[in-house]
Amino acid sequence: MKFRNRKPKEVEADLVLNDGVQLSRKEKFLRAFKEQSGWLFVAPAVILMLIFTAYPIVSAFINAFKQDLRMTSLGVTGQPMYNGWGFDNFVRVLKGDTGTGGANFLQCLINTLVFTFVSVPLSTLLALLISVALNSIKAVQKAYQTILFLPYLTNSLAMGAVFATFFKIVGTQSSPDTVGIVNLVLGWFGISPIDWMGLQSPAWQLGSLSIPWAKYIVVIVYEIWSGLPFKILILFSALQSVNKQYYDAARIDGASRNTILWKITAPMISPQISYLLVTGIMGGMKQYSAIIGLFDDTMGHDYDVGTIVGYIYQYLDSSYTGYAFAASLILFAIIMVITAINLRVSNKRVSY
Amino acid sequence: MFDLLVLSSVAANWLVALMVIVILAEVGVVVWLALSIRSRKTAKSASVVGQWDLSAGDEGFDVQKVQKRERAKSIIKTVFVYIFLTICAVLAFLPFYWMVISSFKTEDEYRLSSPTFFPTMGFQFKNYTSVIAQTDSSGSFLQVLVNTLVVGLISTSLGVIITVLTAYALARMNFKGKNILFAAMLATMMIPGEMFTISNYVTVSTWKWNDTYTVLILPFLVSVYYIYLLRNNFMQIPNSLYQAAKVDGLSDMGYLIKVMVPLTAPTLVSITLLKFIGTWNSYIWPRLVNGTPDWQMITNWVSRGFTDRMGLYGGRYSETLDTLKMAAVCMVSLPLFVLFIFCRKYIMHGVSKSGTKG
Repeated sequence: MKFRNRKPKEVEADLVLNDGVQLSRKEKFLRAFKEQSGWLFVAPAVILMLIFTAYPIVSAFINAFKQDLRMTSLGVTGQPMYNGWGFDNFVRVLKGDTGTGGANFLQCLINTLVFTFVSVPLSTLLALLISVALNSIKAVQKAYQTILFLPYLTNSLAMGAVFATFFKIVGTQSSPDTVGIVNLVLGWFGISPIDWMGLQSPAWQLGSLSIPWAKYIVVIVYEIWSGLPFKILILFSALQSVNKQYYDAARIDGASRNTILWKITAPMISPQISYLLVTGIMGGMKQYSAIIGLFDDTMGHDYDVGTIVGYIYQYLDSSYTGYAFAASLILFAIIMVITAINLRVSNKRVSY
Repeated sequence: MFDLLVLSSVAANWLVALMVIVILAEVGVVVWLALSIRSRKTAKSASVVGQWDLSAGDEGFDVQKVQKRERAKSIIKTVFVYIFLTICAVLAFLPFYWMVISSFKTEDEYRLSSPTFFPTMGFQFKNYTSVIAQTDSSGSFLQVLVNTLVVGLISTSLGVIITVLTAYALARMNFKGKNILFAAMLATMMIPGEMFTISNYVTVSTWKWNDTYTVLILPFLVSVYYIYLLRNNFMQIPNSLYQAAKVDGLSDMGYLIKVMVPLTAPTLVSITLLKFIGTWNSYIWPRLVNGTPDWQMITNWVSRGFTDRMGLYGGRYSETLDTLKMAAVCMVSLPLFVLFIFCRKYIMHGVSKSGTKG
């Protein structure tokens, strides 16, 4: 078919290119097959992705609109039953009116935003300072680098449990056996012990929401600790690749150390900084397992330190699948908004 | 009640330990500085021409005084830098130290009103044996260990094979729809994984895949990110190599195995390690799909409460015990550290690659 539309001359040229030999139909087919044989290589990945990546996206968009979707009530086909279509799931999730005594979406959203937007900038700044310090020394640099990288390789559930022991008051509430290291250190400065994680944990009330600031501090400390290694690694290797001539030139011009740091180093590694901020915020919006590690499955008391992902899994666990789908779409929307904002900002601010 | 205002002997213990570390670091710094100043001097006199270093004999030369002052300044700065780094390193390491010593303490010592810096009542290996021996409704250690190793090995090896094949096709072969496929794959990285997880949960539940290894392996075999990483690596290999191989009569598959894979070995090792670590740390998915504790993974096991079922303390503690938990935590963390010690280069390479190219 194709050949018919072409001019004869082109056809001729084609055939000449093919080693000047006229191809039989079988050979042509073989050649075409060989050209497309890349599909054989990608087939396993493509098939798996169709089942476990492409289909879930479609299915999430469909299932979120099924009202009263419950995993506990399976129909004849083995598919979960539902009760008509509509925005019911979204409305109930956003209003906090799920009627199950589970987590509250607004509370989880606020928690997630606080954790992310406090811990990510702090740990990025700290990582920048550490990397600059690391970059300015020569002896035992590798040793420091290795130690500082250690927390990266840990299991957030396991290390969450370790951090919990730092803050936890062990024993009965009225006469604790030990108040934990953090309280002990605070005690040296005359601060009386705080129940960081327990029932008596201090919190501010905002209407129906609570702001358990002590628990927030625990989470944020953990987030900073666990977020540092990756950031240091990236920033340090970025610093090492900055052309040393810039520094020499600046020094000849009499620039001070601070000026060099903020006027040369920071702009030179601004792509990495913006990358870290973006991935940090993305990761922060999806955090979950650290909260479980620190506070167990209940995510504090009545899910008061729950995150959005925690919210999703809590409803999935209690088989209110419809709410989980709706919340996951809301999370998706939030992440899209952050991505859009980031594209806007980074185009303006980052110097490549 | 708490009598914390008094700097207790144990608190002092802590301080002393901290100071010892700082002092050791300081000694190191000073030794290094002494060495480096000498070498800098020789370097200077060797490299800088003339007037600056003209002589030791030229006393009263202004520049030398300035130089000296500058040098003193920079030494002070360096010392501060080292102190800062040492504090950071100590803080980064503290949780690991605390985890290990807590796992060896008796519960009684752990609960002392002022924590001890070292297990003074002897090392309690019983904590470990007790944790390993606990086999009841919450699943046994050996079972979850076997699960994790089986799932880790299978999913890592299959995953790496799939990654290599896909990355090769995307980097070197030409087929219709390649670019669209690649773009579509990259686009899925934007979507939060939770959306996949919950849909997949519904899928595998309706397929009755719960409590199997398959369900732990299949959904996470393909990771677009590693495909992307390896593809970029493959692209960096010059095309002339491919043509040379073709001339020598090597097939695509042969070229991939004999040329590409050896050339990108570091990245492949990194991917393998990171994938295995990912399986080791997986928690959410196993808990969701495999309700039976004996089908779960090692991280799920750690997140359980460990009570004194062996009667180590004669039934004095009925609640979950932190010392036992720390023993479990140590056992889960140890393999990661061993891996890190032996494969530090590859792991850091992989992580930093994933950083700069993300």
